[in-house]
Amino acid sequence: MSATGEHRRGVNRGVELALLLVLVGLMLLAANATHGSGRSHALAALGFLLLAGTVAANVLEPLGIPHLTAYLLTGMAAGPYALHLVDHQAVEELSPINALALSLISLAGGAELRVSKLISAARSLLWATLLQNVLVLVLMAGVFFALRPLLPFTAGLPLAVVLGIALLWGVVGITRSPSATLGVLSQTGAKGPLATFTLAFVMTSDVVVVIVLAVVFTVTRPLLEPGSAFSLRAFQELGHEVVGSVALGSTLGLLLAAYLRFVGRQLVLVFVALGLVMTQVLDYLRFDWLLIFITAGFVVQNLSAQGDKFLEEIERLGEIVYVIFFATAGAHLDLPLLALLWPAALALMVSRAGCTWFAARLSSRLAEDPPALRRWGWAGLVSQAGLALGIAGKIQKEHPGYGAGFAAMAVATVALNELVGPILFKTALDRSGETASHGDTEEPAATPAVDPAR
Amino acid sequence: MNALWALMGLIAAAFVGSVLVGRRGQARHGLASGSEPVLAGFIIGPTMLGLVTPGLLEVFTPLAQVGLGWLALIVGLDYGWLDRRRIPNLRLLAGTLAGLLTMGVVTAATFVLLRRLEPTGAIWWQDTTNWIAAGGIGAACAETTRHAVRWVADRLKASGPVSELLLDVADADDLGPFLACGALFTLQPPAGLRWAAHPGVLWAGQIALGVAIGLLTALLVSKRFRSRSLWGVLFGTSMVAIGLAVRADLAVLTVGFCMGLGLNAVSGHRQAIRAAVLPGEGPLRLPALLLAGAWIDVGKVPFLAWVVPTVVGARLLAKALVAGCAMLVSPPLRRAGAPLVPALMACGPNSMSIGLAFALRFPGRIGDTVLVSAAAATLVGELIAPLGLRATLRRAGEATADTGPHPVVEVAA
Repeated sequence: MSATGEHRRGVNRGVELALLLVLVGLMLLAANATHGSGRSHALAALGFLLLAGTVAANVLEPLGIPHLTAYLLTGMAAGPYALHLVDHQAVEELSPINALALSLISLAGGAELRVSKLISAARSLLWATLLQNVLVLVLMAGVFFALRPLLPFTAGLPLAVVLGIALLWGVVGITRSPSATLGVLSQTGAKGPLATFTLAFVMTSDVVVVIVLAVVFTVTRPLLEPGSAFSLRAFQELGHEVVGSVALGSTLGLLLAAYLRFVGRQLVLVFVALGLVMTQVLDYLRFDWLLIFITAGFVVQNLSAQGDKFLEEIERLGEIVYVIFFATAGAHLDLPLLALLWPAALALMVSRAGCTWFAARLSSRLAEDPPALRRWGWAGLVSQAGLALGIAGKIQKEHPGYGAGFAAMAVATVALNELVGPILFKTALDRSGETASHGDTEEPAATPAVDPAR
Repeated sequence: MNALWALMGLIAAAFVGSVLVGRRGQARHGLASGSEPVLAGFIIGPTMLGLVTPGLLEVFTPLAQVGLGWLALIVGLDYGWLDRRRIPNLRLLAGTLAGLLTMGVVTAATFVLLRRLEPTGAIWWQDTTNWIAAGGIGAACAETTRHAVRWVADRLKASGPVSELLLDVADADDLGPFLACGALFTLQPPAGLRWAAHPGVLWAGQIALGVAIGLLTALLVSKRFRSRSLWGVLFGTSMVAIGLAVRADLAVLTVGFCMGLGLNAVSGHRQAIRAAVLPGEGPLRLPALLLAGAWIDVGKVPFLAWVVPTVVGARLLAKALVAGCAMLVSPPLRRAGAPLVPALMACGPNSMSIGLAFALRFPGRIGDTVLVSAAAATLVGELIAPLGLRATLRRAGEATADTGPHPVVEVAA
């Protein structure tokens, strides 16, 4: 790269930084000069997070920070615990936009799973699924049990109950983040065994975790609620949720494929209808809409000829979707809680990364993986996001006594994993040589775009 | 009807809108002014079927604000341009003056009427309530919509100096009404602002905010021009502009329009920005107009039988004055003669947008009166403007085809 080009980029980033500061100033002025309701704040907050996230990602790029992390940092800085440019109510008001973003991410995740690639990576996936879920669950439960002096909400509880809670923590420990994985892959344009394995593993692990959660809930119930009978009710609910969601997802996938084939226009509006309306309906019917959209994407990709067109349409929205989703997630992060619980959260985070690394080395050896996967296969599995928090929320609801402390610890740990995970995964992709050469580069102004009339 | 069904309805409306815009280049279906959704909204609204309740409309207020702001942004971005052709400055000035003259005449007539019907006891220049209502009606009734001009010109396959002039003037007359909205909004102290300020300062502030965000967008776009980033930047900056205006109870239309103007004035990527923004026009215009139609509640407008004829009469008079002046200075228009007056009566999306903006900002008598007046002007324009435009273009010798005598029910071949 020429020195002139480098200099030009530096100047551009300086100008963008100045514009970002102007924008922050404008928002601070607005925050002081107005007192609107949450809904009116949400519009400006949405625009600010999108814009500031985009600019911050570009400005921080030379430091090797992934765009996702930059979006998260933007949200944290702008959120209710720091600059207060985006308040609590605005963050809540943006939740429908988050549902829309997550539905698009799930559709893209499913559509990225090609059967041919899954078959080629089947051996690696099978070993990794077994070890990353069972071994990491057991190891993390052990770590949690060992760290109980650092966890105030376990104080005074009988050992059997702490053991039950530790097993539930193990389930939280095996959740991963499809959105972070897809976000990093979208930014880097990475192609190769590491990218394929990570994507396939993370997407399928969502289903596995839901099943493991049902098993662990059933097993731990007698430990957590002494006197309660062993019940398979959780499996009945799980059957309804998983089988029903897969069936609905397959139908939706076929409908989407037919739409792409016979209409093929204004997919954005179809995505909006799915993300804003269908998620509400499916939630009401108690189906897992993430699983439905992953299945639908998978069906479009593998049972029709519309997969590439479908992915292309989703990727057109990708940049906006990831910025909004992660910047809002950043604004959502409870920084005071993180400040309070950080020693235990850090210990749990480091242990989880260590357990993930160990399980990855073991599964890679057993599956005879290529060197890149052996070395870096663990790095894409550190990120955590919504699913972990969802499980923690469910545990809090079912066990109000210690559930609040458990959920708070989960929030703090997930926050750290959310920040560190994308950096690790991007580094792994860069080091293993799978990052596309032009993935991060800016494109110069296209000649035809310049107004000829001027 | 619950919020989910209503949202699905809006998405369906957006879909239809996108299909209609996707037919660009072919003769468009439906009404000349493109105001079919207003009619649909009116039918499902409280006046007729009552399927949409005021509480439900409240839920969609932010969506309506976004739609209005984005439409104003498009108008500002396109101001002074007709596709890739720059509108000559003289025509820009003429169009602006035509808009201001119409706005002035309608405002004056309505103000006099409202003062007589509902005396407030205030001295006339301090009667802000009636000034806001009359000014809003004037702003809503000022335009001649280019949608109708293009609709008729497409059907008659007309081209020449008169159709070009009409399109140019129709484009240029938007400046006055969009800026006037900002001024009228400041006459009642905005509840969203913590600090009191003179209306003039607030008006200038809205214009400055819009232009500043437009310039910021232009800078960001020039530094980081990629088609995907372009959308993100445009969406982000427009949301900031619209959000700040809504938050401070200022005029979304003025801020959005000024942002478009700022971008239009300095960005070297205007055509690319236009190409990115225009596909959003249909999907936004239809739901926004549908909401505007659903917001109409004629039962809430006092003295409807007096207000509507006065507004329509004043608008007709103003357009006659505009046509007279135009014929004095433009020889091709002289050939068109009297039909030029009804031809200029076409109004639609911009009028309804202004009506909706007033209904959102001044809920109650003022907002309802402005919105109903805008709808009445649109309806009258729909009935007479296509006939006037046809006759004008035929007399000017620019019509090369004619597909039928009744344009309202006509469907493109």
